[in-house]
Amino acid sequence: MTRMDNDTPQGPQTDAATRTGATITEIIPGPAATLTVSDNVSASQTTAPAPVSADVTASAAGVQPSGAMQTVMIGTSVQTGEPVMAEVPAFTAAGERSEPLLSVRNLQKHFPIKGGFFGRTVGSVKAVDGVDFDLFRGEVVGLVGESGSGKTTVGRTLLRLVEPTGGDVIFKGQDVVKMNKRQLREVRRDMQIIFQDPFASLDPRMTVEEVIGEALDIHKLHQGAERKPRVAELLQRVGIRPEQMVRYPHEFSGGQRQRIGIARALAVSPDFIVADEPVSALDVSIQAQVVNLLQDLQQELGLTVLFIAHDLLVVEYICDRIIVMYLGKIMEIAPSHQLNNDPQHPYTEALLSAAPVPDPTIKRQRIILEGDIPSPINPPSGCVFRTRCRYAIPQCAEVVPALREVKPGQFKACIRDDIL
Amino acid sequence: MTQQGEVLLAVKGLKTYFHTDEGVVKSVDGVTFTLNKGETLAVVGESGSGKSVTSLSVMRLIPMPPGEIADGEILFNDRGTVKDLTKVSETEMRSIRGNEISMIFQEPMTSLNPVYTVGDQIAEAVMLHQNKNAKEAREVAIEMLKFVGIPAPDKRVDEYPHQLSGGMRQRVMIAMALSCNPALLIADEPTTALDVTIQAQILDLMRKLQQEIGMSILFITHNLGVVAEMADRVVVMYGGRVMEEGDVIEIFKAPRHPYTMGLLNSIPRPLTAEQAADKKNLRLEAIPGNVVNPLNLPPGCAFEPRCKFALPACREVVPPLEDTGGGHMARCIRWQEFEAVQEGGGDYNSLHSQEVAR
Repeated sequence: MTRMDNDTPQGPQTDAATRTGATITEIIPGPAATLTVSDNVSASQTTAPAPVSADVTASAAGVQPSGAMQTVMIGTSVQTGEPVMAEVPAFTAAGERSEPLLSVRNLQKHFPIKGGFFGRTVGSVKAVDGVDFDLFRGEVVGLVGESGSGKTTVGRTLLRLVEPTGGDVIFKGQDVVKMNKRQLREVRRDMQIIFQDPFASLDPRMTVEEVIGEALDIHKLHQGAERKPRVAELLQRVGIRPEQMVRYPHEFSGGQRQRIGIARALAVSPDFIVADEPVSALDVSIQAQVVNLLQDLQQELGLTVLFIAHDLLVVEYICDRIIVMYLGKIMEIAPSHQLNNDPQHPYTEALLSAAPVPDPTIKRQRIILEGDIPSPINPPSGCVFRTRCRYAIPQCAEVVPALREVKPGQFKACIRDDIL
Repeated sequence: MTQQGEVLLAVKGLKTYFHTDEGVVKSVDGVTFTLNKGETLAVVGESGSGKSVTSLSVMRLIPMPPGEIADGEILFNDRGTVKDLTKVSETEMRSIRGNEISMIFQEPMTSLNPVYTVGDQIAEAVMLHQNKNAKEAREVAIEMLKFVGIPAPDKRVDEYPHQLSGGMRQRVMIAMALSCNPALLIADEPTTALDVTIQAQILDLMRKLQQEIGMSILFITHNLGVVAEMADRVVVMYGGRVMEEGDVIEIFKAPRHPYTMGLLNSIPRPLTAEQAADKKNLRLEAIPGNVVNPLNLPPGCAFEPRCKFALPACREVVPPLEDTGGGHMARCIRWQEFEAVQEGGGDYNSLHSQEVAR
């Protein structure tokens, strides 16, 4: 992701920069002083010259900006499709990392809507609409969003359980989207998924040994005499007594079934796991057991995990970074603690504010978002969140905001830098 | 229990059993609690705790057979006259339901009839309970939709449930439930199926409406965050029994039952900067084992098999629900020791079973 800034056209930079001045003053209305600026930053720290950028600097509490400015793309115009540029403080990338294990570029999944007399395609549901992110080896990244945000679809397109309609998924240097069946089967040994509903994802007519053994058979691993000991070892590892492998899924509780689902995913020793709401369907006291188990396994096996969930507290607990989605697009990406304590996108702010806190002595003023998520068939122009955003300005309808780095490691897709 | 309000509902020793092929399931096994006027009482529990069966028993919506209210009283203060809902006739119960006690459910789509407009469904309740004609009832329906914050209510009234979003459907359910001005609203996991931003809207709405109408709410949930936001008092259930009951702040700050403590410890909380920096060593304090099976309750305390403070005595008899002071009730033989730790600032670890055994 850090490379994103560099991807913006560098050639006509001076031109763009001069144009930027005009664009930005148009975008930011009214006196900046009336808008909320992050506290605990003394005014003396705001050394940047441009007034808009000063706010960016001011909100970057705890970060020491170099003072240098750079021109970045803040979005694309809805009318012309041309990039809209702005000047923001330059940051050196936080902690240079190695090659990502998985890179997602401009991922799209548009489900066609059939209608009319001949069953023609009359429209499409833009479930995932241009998503970019990187996962690094050994990292746990949370993917959060409400229903209809596209988070589950993203998880499934990564493994091509759902065929993407556009974009690339580069896993270990190879594009999963372009793979043929044989290559795909091979790569799935390294990529596995844990599903939300442990009642629906295990075949009721197979014993636990068959469920887990099937994964081994498909990839021709641990065959023959090795098979049973491998299944036993996996069960033991997830906290199920190996002698229970002869039982059927219905003989287990929800938490145990989820453990079996985890054992099945681990059977082929994958590097990467998509965990699709693995604890959402479980009782509170069981949820903690499974969260702990996932953490143990992740650390022990050095797994890279995409953890899809809607509970931000659980996600902060186990994830290094969090990706926030809304209506098929990424709104914000940040290190999890930073995201929970200093969100930069208005949607993240609202999502955090809406989550009830288990402490009756805290009576917060909540931000109540009006209305519902708009239809993904006909999403709003410009920023998809603008129809529910309390900071929305007319320009939000005109520019599709680009995901850009606003603080080290923190990216947001919002054209306003003067709000949070 | 700061002020002793007027009691609206008193459940005493309620036992609701289900006779199944595998034996008698004691879903609710001697539940006692009271709900005052204007108050929100949250009933918290995991699957199989008996929280939903308790609420359905109050509404007398338990399918009989196989269900049976085997024992106990459900005393309801019906505008001055106290009635035992386990004993009133079905005709009388029908006039109480909807009029005096209303209920909203988790999944609004399955509770609404898909072939009638939402207006017709609200009007039906109004016509049935308030002797209004169709035209008047429609007016009430529009008014109620407006009351629960549905935009363009005069248009929405003619729409079908499938045309509304999940949040809007739950608003319609609330409109329907409140259309006859009930004294008690039973909300059974009303926001569990909703997204957090929509949940925030619905909780906000429920709080506002409660202030306006002054109804009492019996709020059934498993979400401790929602409990902290909504409840005045809390009943914690496990294995069909009340484990603890008390003021919401007491329950969260000074729990006297190991199950309540365990539940509170097992939910993640916002991390401090230090915790966030050292996540590798962070683990939730999970409760070991599985949720108790109501078909197979242990002879003593239902939570004993999973309790780290359990003593041999816990296995012998079901501990009584005792008042630990100021109406804070706990069903644990060791509550005094927990209280001492809370007041003396001592250490719970010294109370662990192994430590005690030594």
